[in-house]
Amino acid sequence: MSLRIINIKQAVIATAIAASTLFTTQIQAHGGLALADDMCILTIGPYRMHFTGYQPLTQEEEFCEDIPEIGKTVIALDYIQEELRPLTTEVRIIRDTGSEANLDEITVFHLPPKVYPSASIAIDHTFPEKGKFVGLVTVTGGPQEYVSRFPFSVGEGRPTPKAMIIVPVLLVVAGAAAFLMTRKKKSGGAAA
Amino acid sequence: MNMRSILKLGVLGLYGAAIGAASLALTLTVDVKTAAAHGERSQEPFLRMRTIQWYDLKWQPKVTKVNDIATITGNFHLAEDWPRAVGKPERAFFNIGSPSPVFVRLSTKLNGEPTFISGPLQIGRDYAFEVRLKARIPGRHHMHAMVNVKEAGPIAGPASWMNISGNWDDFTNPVTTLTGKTIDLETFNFANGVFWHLVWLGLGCFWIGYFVARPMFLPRSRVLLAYGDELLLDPMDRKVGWAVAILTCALVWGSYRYTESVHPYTIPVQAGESKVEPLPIAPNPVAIKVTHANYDVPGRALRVTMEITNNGDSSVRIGEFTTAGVRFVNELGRKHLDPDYPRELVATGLTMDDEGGIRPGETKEVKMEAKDALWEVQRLMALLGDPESRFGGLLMTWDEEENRYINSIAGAVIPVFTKL
Repeated sequence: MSLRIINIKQAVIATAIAASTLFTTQIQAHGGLALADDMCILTIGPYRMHFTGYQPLTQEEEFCEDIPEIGKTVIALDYIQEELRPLTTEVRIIRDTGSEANLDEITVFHLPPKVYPSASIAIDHTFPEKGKFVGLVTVTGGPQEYVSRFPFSVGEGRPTPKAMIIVPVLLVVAGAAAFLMTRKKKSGGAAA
Repeated sequence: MNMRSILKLGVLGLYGAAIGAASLALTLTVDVKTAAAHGERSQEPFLRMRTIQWYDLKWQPKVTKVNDIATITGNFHLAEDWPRAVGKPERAFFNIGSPSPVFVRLSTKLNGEPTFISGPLQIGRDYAFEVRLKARIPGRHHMHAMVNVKEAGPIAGPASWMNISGNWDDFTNPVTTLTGKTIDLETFNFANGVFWHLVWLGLGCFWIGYFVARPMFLPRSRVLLAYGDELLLDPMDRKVGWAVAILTCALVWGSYRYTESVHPYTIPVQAGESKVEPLPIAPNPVAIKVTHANYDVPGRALRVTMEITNNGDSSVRIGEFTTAGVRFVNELGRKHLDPDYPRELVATGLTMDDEGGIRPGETKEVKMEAKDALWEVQRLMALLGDPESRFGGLLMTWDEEENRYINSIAGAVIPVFTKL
């Protein structure tokens, strides 16, 4: 009886832990850039933009945050809030040197401040080599100036390699097979 | 069943109750989010772009008090390019999409005719609608025009935010019946409704509980499979079955007779079919053939190449392209734009390679670009993953006398990564 109750307790705890995963929201912070609710969101003060990265020559999938490969990269920033439309946005990509004293010297890409009435900014840049970079998006023209800063790497592959998806699936399948085989053996033994 | 078994079952039951309570508490405290809208952006783009094409929508007034009347009016066109995967509108119902009954719908008219039941709509034709609403629950509500199509589901149109102030407790919904009696539909026969819910709930619980208290479903099933139903036949089960069957029939028959005597005039609501003729086809001298279309993925721009023929006697110019409730306008379109239309659904990035217009009798190739972040924000370009990858929408042109002509256009879209 007591053994049964201990088993039940374990089952309850396991159920509670498993249930708690249902209530988690995946957030991976990279400065102002974060993956939240399955959307890549760039936060600039009170404003939000939808970040989508493409490497049309090497990648089929869109990316958020780190840029998987070197080469031609296209990033689209879409305004989510209407309030951003009349404001001025400046985009700058700098090398991550630890110091931002002389921005122009470390800038690798720059879109000067501009109003984007179509609410979308396209950044087209070719990264010739791997490295650490920082994106700076500045919004002006409103009550105050807001800057979003997000560090990212280029050329270090996808954050989740395919093995990370395949291995757990294989483990679950192997576990299920082992369980079924054990049961079969047991029932065979009992019958004998 | 001995005491030991009862104790074990009791402990199991307590754990079950604890898990249920904990799950409910977690759901209520951790996972409750305010639903601001209805997930209309998650509807497939082909459903929003190539089925019901909405135009001239108005929400008036947008600010009301509890018990005030508001209206939603507008027109819709049923696209000629209706997708094969979507059920045809042979049985459709005009509806309003709102977060719970925040307004009470007083009447719906299609082309001026009262329409409170489903009926067929014709593809390729236009309908005008008018819905009268009475403000019920205070708050800021996202209100959609909507058409429910059998085998296609609800097809939501554009929505606007409508604000209701005041107190819900003040809401009344009086109507006068055929016999001259005035009732308040908000509270009418509320206790009666609760009573009948409890009666049927009680009967259902008794029926399930009776068999659950005896050997449970799985043991019964195993006995049935192993030994047949002889062992399971209990004279008491038979008696209870007969008693519940007779009671159910008596309740149905008795309550029906009672209702007939108290309310002699009743109307079955969904027993007929509305037959509303579409609006007459308006003369349109503009003919459009889409020859090519692509979507600039990072540029958020749909580019359409069209052959436009003007068979009229006045030059025409393009002013608006509207799809899925999003209105792409240029300077001409902005001049005709309703300032009350939801700002979040207006894009000003409509351009043509030649803004000169199409002269009478001329056939001209026009390259149009509709550029805005709304393609992504409204998740319209998910259509690139569809097997058909087709866009659709209404193209609006105006002649020199400011007459408007509307053409439904559609075509296949190819995604590109190049700038114009």
